[in-house]
Amino acid sequence: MARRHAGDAPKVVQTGLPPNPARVHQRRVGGAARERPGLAAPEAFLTLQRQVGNRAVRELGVLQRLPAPPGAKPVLRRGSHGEAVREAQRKLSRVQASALPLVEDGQFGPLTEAAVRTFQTTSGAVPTGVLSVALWAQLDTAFAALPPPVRAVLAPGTDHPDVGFAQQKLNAMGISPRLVINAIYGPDMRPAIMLIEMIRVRRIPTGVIDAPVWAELDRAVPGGFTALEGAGATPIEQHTGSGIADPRGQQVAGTSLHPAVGVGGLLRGAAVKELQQKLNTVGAPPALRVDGIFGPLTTAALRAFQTSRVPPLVATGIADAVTWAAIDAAAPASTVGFIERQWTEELGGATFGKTGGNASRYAWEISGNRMLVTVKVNFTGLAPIASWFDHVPAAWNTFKAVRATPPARSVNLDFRMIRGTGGDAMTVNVQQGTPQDRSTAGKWFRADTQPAFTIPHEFGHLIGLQDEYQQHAGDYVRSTGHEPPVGVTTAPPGQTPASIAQVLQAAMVARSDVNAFAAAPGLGMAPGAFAQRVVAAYAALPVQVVPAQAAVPAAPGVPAVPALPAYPLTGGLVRDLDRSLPNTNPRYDTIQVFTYTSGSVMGDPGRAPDIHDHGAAPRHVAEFVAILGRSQGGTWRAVAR
Amino acid sequence: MILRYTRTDGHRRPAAFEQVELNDDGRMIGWRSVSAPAVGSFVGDAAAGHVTRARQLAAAVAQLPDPGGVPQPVAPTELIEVGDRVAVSVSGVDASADPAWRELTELARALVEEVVNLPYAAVALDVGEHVRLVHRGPATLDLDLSHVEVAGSWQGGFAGPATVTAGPGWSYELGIGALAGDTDGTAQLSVMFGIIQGGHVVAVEVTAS
Repeated sequence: MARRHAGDAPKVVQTGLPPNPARVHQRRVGGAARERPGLAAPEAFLTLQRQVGNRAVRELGVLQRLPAPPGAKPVLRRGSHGEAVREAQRKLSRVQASALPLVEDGQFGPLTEAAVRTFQTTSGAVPTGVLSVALWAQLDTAFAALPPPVRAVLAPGTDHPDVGFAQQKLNAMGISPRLVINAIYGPDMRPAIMLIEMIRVRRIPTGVIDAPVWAELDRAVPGGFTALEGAGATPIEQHTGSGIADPRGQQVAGTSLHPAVGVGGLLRGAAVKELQQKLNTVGAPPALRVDGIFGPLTTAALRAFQTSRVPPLVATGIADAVTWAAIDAAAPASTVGFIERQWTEELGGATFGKTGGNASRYAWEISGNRMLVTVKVNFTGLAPIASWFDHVPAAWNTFKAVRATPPARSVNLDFRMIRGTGGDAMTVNVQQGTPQDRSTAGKWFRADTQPAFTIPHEFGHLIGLQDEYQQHAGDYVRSTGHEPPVGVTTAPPGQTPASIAQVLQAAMVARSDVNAFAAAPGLGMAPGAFAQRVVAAYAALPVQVVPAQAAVPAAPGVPAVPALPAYPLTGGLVRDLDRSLPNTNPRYDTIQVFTYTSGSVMGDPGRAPDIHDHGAAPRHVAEFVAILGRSQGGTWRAVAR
Repeated sequence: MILRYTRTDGHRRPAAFEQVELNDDGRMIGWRSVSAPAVGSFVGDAAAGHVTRARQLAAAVAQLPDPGGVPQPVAPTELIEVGDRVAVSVSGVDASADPAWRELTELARALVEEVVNLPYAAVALDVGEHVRLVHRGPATLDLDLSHVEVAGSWQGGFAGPATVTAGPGWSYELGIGALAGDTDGTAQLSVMFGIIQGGHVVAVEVTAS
């Protein structure tokens, strides 16, 4: 393939190697650019290369992939679960056999069964509700026969939802800087499209995204279109994958993932076991008993390790951050361990986190075909509700890690929450609350009416995961692994991005949450491309200063007005909304419009239901899958079980 | 004024707006939007020990920089004002904070709970033989009962008068039948309605169990 087109495309693309900009320059000058009159000047190629990014070139070079051979499909019936059920749900929903779009939860329940019956009926089969091997073949055929998405032809300057999907795909291919998903074909994306035209479509670039360009975009990055799902033909935006998700909170700079072990730190438990195992790995004589008790032998072995380093570490007999780094370098693997993660997140323009004494702390242990992650919680205040402890495994024990490379192996990933105290425990305050209260990371409410969702969500924080709602685009992509949705692309009647941005700014200057709400959600605005245009229009406004707010003392029957300092707006809409407006429902609803929210266990499915990103996802257990890889060797991945 | 503490949370519905102001004479003035057993405004004297300690702590933090700290997800906004200083966020105050800031924050949180026992123009939820909203305190307040929602051991909604003035002796029966206990056998009821404050309807939630 590469040889056949060697005269048409730059060689660097065909190799898939990261290109050296200088060599790209030379080859393009001597290759396509010289042979085709009218192409951009050599400098323009460098510009294109910089704008589209090296990763995009690599992606373009590996477009021709053979589809994986289909595996044997298991017979599925009520009670079945796992990846195959997810696949069946996705396909049944897309062929519109289900009454409503099916939630891809991997659980073959009554809705999935009903969809199978409907599919059987329409296929002329007996409606048994069982997805047999033969029916799988029919379902696969029907799914494969679905028409491809209808793509608009997009010229520069076009305002169309499909531009948003093209922006998603260019982002996923690595264009730099990232494109805002605003569904407007701007000059920032044109060079990348022209590059695709030249090196993939092999034509004189026009900047028009037509069928051949769409074919290349779709081949490089699947997804990114709106499909009709369920019998009611509900339009559902299909995700565009974008890199490897990392849903953990941002680790605080300079912090270690290990707690101090030894005098002044932890003296018992998984962290001590990890230390003992690793000291044994580096050859502690005599071998330590891995009992999780930090005694004289462990202390001596640790001191010996410290003095054996070059240059030697101070022989404190305490495993501090520096010592742990040396131990990890010498012995990266163990079958037991403990993580103390200090992390922050940005949510709705404000910074939250679990830091210092509130850091996430969790132990893990691999034993046979099970990896058990344990979170110890010191509940203060009222007693926790017994069922909370069941909500954790119900939501989280849904994955197994599998190693595809020989020898194949499968390990169940299990999670549990136990009560306890000590340096390896986290503190959660329990209050009665009200039915309207939703538990937060540090405070759980007995009256919470949705504990089956909130407790697994809060448990996620305890194992270091951040929230996946009210995020800016960058955090959303990083934490979910897919591009921000295109969402709503149209303006409220009579409005422009600039007009809304100006009203929002005025509302912030006046510290009026009600006015801000009226300018956005009050006009029917919802998250998506148009909202991002408002964000951009706001950033372009002249900076204003929110004046100081003088205190008004409380009077009987009248609350006080707090004294607040003057504050220069930054041009960052979400952060400015957060800082300028009081913490009210209107502010929350306004910020929601200009941010992104996932439907996963760490998101807000009540506000952003998502049948494709539902509950705990493989990304949420990725840290433990990676630990398995270090401990057991090979490449592992999480699949539904 | 010795201190003013304001806690707000727009993440929940209705939003929380809880406030207490402790004045030099030891009198507290408070406002509660989400509370048991009453919501509305509150006035009365703080415990003498609290006043003395608050005065000491306010003097101590006057010499200190803002406490900083990272609040846990998604903790409410907590502001404290002492003396002439502008409001300072104490949402991230934890064990690592300066002891004076830590204790002042804890004391302020205690005061906003204490003030609810001193109704001025407030509405409580009386869960007796009949479930009623009941006025508390010497002063009147205007209510919006056009959208009353009930949650907890009984769930439903009512459409009452859009404006009603509640004063001493006022009560409003909600027509709620037998209450179901929660998983632990505890009956709890929350009623959401509006208090008209400064011409605006403030959504509130009063709870009883």
